[in-house]
Amino acid sequence: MPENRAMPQSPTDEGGMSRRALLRVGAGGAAFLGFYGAHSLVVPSLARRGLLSPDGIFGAASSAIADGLYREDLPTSPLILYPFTDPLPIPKALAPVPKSVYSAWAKPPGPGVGQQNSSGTERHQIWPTQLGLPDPIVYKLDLLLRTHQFTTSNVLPIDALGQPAVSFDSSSKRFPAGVQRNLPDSTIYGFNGTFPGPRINVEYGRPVLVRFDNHLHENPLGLDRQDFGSPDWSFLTHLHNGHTAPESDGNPHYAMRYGPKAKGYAPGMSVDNLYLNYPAGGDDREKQTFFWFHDHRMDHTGSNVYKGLVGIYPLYDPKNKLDAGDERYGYRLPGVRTNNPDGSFDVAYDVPLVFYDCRLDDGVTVHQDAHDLEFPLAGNPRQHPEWWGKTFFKHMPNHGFVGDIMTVNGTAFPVMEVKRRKYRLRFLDASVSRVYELALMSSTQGPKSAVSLGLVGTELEGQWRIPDGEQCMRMTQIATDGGLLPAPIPRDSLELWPAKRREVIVDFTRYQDGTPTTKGDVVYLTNIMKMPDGRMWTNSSRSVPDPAYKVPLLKIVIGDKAPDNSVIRQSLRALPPLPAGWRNLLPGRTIFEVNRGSIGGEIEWLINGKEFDPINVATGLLNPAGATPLAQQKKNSFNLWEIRNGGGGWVHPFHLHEEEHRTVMRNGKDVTTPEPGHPDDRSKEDLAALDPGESVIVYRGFRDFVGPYVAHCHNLVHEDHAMMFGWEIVP
Amino acid sequence: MSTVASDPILRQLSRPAVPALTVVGMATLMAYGDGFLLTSLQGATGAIELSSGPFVHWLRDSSLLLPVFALAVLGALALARRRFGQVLRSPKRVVGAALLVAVAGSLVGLAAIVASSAWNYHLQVEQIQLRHATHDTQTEQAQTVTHVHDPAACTGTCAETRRQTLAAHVRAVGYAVPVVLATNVVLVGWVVAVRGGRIDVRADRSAT
Repeated sequence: MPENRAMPQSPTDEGGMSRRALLRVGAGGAAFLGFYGAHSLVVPSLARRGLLSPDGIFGAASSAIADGLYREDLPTSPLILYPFTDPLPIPKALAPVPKSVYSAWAKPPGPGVGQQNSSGTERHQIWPTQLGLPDPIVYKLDLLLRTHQFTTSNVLPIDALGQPAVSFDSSSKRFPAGVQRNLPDSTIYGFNGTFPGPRINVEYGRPVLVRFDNHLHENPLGLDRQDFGSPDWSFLTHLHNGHTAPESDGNPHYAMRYGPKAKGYAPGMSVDNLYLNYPAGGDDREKQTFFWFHDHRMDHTGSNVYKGLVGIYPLYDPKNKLDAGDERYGYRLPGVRTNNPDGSFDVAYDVPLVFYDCRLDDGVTVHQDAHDLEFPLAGNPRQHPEWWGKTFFKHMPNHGFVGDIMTVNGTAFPVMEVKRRKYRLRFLDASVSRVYELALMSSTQGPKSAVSLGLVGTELEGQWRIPDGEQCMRMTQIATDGGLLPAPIPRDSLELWPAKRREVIVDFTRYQDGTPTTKGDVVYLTNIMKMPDGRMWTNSSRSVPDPAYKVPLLKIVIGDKAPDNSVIRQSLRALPPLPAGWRNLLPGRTIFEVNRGSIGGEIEWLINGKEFDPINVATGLLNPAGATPLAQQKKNSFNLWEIRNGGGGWVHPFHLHEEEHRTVMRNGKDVTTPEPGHPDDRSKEDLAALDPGESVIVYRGFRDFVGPYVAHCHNLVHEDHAMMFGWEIVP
Repeated sequence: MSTVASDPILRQLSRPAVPALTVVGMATLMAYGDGFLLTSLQGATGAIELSSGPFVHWLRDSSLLLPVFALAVLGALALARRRFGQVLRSPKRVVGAALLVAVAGSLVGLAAIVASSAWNYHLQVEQIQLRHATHDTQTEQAQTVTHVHDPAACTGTCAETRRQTLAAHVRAVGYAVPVVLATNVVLVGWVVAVRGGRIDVRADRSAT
């Protein structure tokens, strides 16, 4: 450099030539190493998390910083020592209320003004007779404060390193490390006091009215409510995803503006949710097969669902006995129907499997989050040794909430004996944040505890592994959350995102290699997706498989042979066709991007840069036609909506209320012919499973009803932290 | 005919009054480096309204901050000149001058982060008050709410949310202090290393 060349040469400089060169080489080398390291280490990690973009890099950095700034500690649940001993509970159909009984109620259900809820402010938008349907079958569900037992097994309290840990009883008496314990029952809010709640088997063409009656203020067992669940004990119930009028849909903003004019129905109140069991537009091709009902109370949906407000609602189609629960007719799907004298019906060999993960308090983890002020009795932040062994929940908007015990139908590690025949299994993910990937595996050596395998930390999630597990059976997928597929899809495994449903037929007479099964054989329904926190998986079949991660969820024991009249047909229910000109709607589509921000000392989630606004209809982002349309649709219209995952390294199960959609484009590519990674794109869905950085364009209708609805992320932590928008159907 | 390139006098006279390469190099690296942290912190604790398009935010904010960083570097070099002389002959003095530059840049970076946090907090407080007004009151009241600026109206959970928001920003700034300082030390050190272990601190044209 000229100025330096003009400087007098000093001995230091003379001797420093090599030093200068060394420094320059060192600086160049450091820069090279930095780029090389970024390319070889950081870039693949960013790519896997969908963050390989200019904005994505900032998303990754923000996430890393947030991890250090927001305290989100989770306990390690005690190890269940004797798994696969409790039988799988399979809920029986709930009996309806006889007309003679509900007619005598002080406020009987009906179509009149003020008959939709106990506040006397609403009426049902469409009473079934307006559609030529009969009066509804009436059910009654009381929301009750009760208890639930996840296992009867002894447990060993452990810490995050898998080492024996201390435990406590309800009086905070301390037990030394290494002492086996029985778990105390967890406190739940339950429909009729059970978890999962009742099963209501319904049929198309036979409407159902469910009266939800809030008794959460009653505490006959003197239970400690702990520090989660809606703090005012209010509720809303959403039938996910019924084609339902707004007043019966559990829309939180509807409840705030109309109905109870509050975030939910308060203790002592009741609401009649009318489920017409009527396909959108009266189109048989829109029929669905498996709903679930769950709480939807504003800001506390996640905690209320986690606390037990979950029920199941399989739908059958009696028209031409296509799917009437009788395998001799129609689509010949597995099921043997029994009509009960009380008006309900049960279907054998048709088994709902509700997946739900939880964490049990270790008594030493500090309870702390931004909602502590809502639970002053808990005195947080502090430890709660008196709650040892009971369900633990805190809002974890930065990480999401995942449990380390994965239950099926409310039981940890259950066992189900099956007959040697075909079964219809209905999968539902009722977890707060966890995504599963399910496969059927056999294991010669059987389950080993993660502790015994030397695993620690998040590797303890799931508690048990089958290290020698090998896939032994395939599943035939017959339905998604939108109902029956046009044609069955053979699957080695399938992903199950929060709120999603997948239905499969499993033939328990033979293995995938053709070998017949024999009585006493054991098959494990296994989770092979590793998801250490609520953001997204680290390992799965379609990303980076982890051959060591095989968590058995359900032990299936093959029993005796049984008659089987079911058939796996080559075709099922045809899809409603897309209009030929659907692409013409692309420029004017309504665009929503999900993203995140921060407020109140925690992460908040937002859509199009805004928190959930219960008053105003959302506005789409600028579309290619140069417009920012309101999320407002004419009744009986159709449109394209685009949902973008704005990145940040999270996956988002994005749920759209009211009517199912069909994914037509994924990341800008036409997927009306499905891609290998998403074989069931050729179906209807009510939930768009958004990978990191992914965008989907969905075609959907807005039929039969008018009024406000919501769309939101079904990672319930995100939903409760404002990741929701209001939209409406206008006449 | 003598040219600037061949005539040492003309060459000396044509030199800028400031060590431009040093100033621009260090200021640019620190502006965009600290700007990266500022934008990332905003993504972690910042207001929802400012959370989208962080890359563009980074480019804009860093570019706006660049002149301030340049002034800081100039100031640090002037201080180094006064303290260590026109020519830095020993590694100790080079390190001292480099640290001065890094500290000066860090002060600017941290000031920007504090200012950004304050602005984000201001926006968040408005959002908190609006949210509590719309979510926690009857609809008729909520529909009339546009902006609530009365801090006295924010009590209970609203006040607690505000307090927690402020606490998050304080934690973020606390986190930023060592990170900004370390970042700037590394960046300035890298520039010094690229220049063979030297820093040009001279401002006068007669220096040789």
